[in-house]
Amino acid sequence: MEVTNGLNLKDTELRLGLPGAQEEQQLELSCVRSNNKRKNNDSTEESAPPPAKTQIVGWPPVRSNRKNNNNKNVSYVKVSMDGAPYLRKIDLKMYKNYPELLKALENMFKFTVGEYSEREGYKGSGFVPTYEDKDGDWMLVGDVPWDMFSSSCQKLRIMKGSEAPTAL
Amino acid sequence: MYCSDPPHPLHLVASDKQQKDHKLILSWKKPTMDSDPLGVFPNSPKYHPYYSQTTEFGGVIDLGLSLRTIQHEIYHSSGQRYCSNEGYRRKWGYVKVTMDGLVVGRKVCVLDHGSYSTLAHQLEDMFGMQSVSGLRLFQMESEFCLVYRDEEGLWRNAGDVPWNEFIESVERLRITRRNDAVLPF
Repeated sequence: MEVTNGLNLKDTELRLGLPGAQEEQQLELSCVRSNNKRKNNDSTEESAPPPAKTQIVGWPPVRSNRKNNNNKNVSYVKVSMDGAPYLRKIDLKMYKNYPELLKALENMFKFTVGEYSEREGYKGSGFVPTYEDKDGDWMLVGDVPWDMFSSSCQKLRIMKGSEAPTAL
Repeated sequence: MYCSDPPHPLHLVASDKQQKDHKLILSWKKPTMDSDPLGVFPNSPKYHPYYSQTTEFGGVIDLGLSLRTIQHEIYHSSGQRYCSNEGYRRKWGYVKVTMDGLVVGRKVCVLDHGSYSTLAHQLEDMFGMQSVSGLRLFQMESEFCLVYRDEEGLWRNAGDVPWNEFIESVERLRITRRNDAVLPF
């Protein structure tokens, strides 16, 4: 009977031992997970500051050419003259009215423009300043207000008086 | 006997009519049966865009209250209203004038004139040297005529409509020879 009692006691001891072991394993797993989470948080915190700093410094890099292109206060147009061997380029934004522009063109190509009049255009010198507008039409310089001209002018061409009226 | 014969065909005719009526009733029933599937059709497209909408937005149903939609509408309306060319011309009043055979055109301000005669005078000054006898626009014996392109893009003969209507619709002027004017543009 004692022996049988001992066997019963052992059985009861084994039953008590198993749940204890399981509990310990669960605790270990939870500890490991918490450690992993902490590591992830640290890595994210470390990676955050660098991109902000680089942005402030000037990322992405922009070439000086593009920066110049972004400048809207420049308006370069080609200038050609009948008989001249090469073209020139001028910035229309540098001039405020027609007289300034015409003087610059005279100095550039070494010629003289006649005085402008609404009736007869440029008379006397044989040279006729013309411009190509946004529609692709060649118009006489001086008919419209300066602001309207400078905003629609795409090219400039100084025609000889003999060619302008009859050329086609 | 003669009297009894006519009634028989009449009865037959009546029976035929009754049969036709039955057929009509049958045909009437068929569209009623067809109406049910027709009713189903409007339902399915109503449901389909809703379903596609959910799929497009990744499962999120857009009730039309998002700021993006409102901004898009504003942008669209502003885009439609903005028309630089039209406003530009009406602001300045300048229109292009070209003469057939010449490369260089001129520009005139139609708002500076009050009638066709003053406009003709200015064009005479600008282009008169191209002809020995001058342009003499709006005159019967002139070899030149003035045509203009209106806001709809149609070329019309200048002088046909009152001056006020002309300056509101003119977009461009062209001095052409009377013979060329007959040709289609």
